[in-house]
Amino acid sequence: MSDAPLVLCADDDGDILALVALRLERAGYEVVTAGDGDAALALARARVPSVAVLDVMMPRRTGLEVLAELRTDPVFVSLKVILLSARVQEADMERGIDAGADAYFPKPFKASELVDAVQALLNP
Amino acid sequence: MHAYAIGIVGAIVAALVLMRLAGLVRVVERSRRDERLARQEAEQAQHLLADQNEQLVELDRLKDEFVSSVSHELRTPLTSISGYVELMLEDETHEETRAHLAIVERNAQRLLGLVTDLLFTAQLQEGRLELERAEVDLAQLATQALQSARPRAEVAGVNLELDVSDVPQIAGEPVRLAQLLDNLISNAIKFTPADGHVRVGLHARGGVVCLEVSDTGIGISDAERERLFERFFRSQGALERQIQGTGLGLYISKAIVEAHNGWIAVESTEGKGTTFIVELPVST
Repeated sequence: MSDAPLVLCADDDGDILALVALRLERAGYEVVTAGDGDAALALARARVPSVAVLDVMMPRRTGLEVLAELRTDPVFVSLKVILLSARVQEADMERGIDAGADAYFPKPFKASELVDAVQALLNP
Repeated sequence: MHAYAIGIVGAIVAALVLMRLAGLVRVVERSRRDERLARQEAEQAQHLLADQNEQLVELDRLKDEFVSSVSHELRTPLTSISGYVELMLEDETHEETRAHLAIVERNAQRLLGLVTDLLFTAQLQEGRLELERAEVDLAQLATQALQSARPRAEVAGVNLELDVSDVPQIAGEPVRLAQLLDNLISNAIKFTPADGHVRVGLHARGGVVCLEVSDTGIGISDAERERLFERFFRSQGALERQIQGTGLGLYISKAIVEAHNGWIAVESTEGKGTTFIVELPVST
């Protein structure tokens, strides 16, 4: 076990998931990954991460649904959530922020900027 | 006898009149029937037209939905392409490999630009250009747009000039106005040969802010000027010189200007250059 903050990454696109995980690991975080919404929710409950990076359009449960679920649970009161999505219209982003996301990254995003955002959310 | 003759003549006349009347009734009936048939046919044609119209509207909606969903789908692989290239560029020290990776990245960005334009065009077709208005300093936006265009201009050997006088702020959406400036400046650079000039002018006149982007480029023929703002229109000059583009930039630019209650026009002389003139009202 390390003292590094735990980040949960969820995306049904394995390449993006591996990229984000690698970037965050290189930046010194402990990373757990999930390939769909259900797995993300289960992993969040099992490991209680400091940050969750969730893709919006995932099978079984969308990132927005996972987010809504997490926001009802007091265990996750200090959890920071970043949404990733290829849906880039303003309305989509607003929906994400309204649902309780701390940041919204439209795809394609710069992985280095995502890492910066994780850092900024953990050290405000 | 006389009365008898009169009776016969009368009967003949009456018969003739009756026959004529019967004929007239037939004619009237036939024309009524024709009219009814014609009305039925017209109604059928109208139904058919309405059906076809409905199908067309539905097809148009499906097409826009298709473009929109394809645009979204294209963003996901682009995320991986750009993301892994960025990663490799950080680790790579070999100059030639770095140069090749930079080419991949540049093309991924080009593809992204295309996807973004397509998505925006689909939105326009759905009539969904809603502006989030704020006070916009066009002079500042123009300076920034020129700044980000500078590397491209340098590669093309084109000189960029900015000529800005004091202009009032306008009520508009900064992102869209930046897109407008970027479109016009990018176009001007693309269509201007090396050692040419691109000038961005900004001044106030009456209740409007006037933006002019002029170049010393290849120009546009009168015939083509008419079609310049059409969706997917590409000029002969652009095709012959293999100047890259989708034919969406000016279509989008015009939509942005009009959403701001403004006006856009173009003046051009073939072989000499082109000037785009945009007028945006100060308060809308």
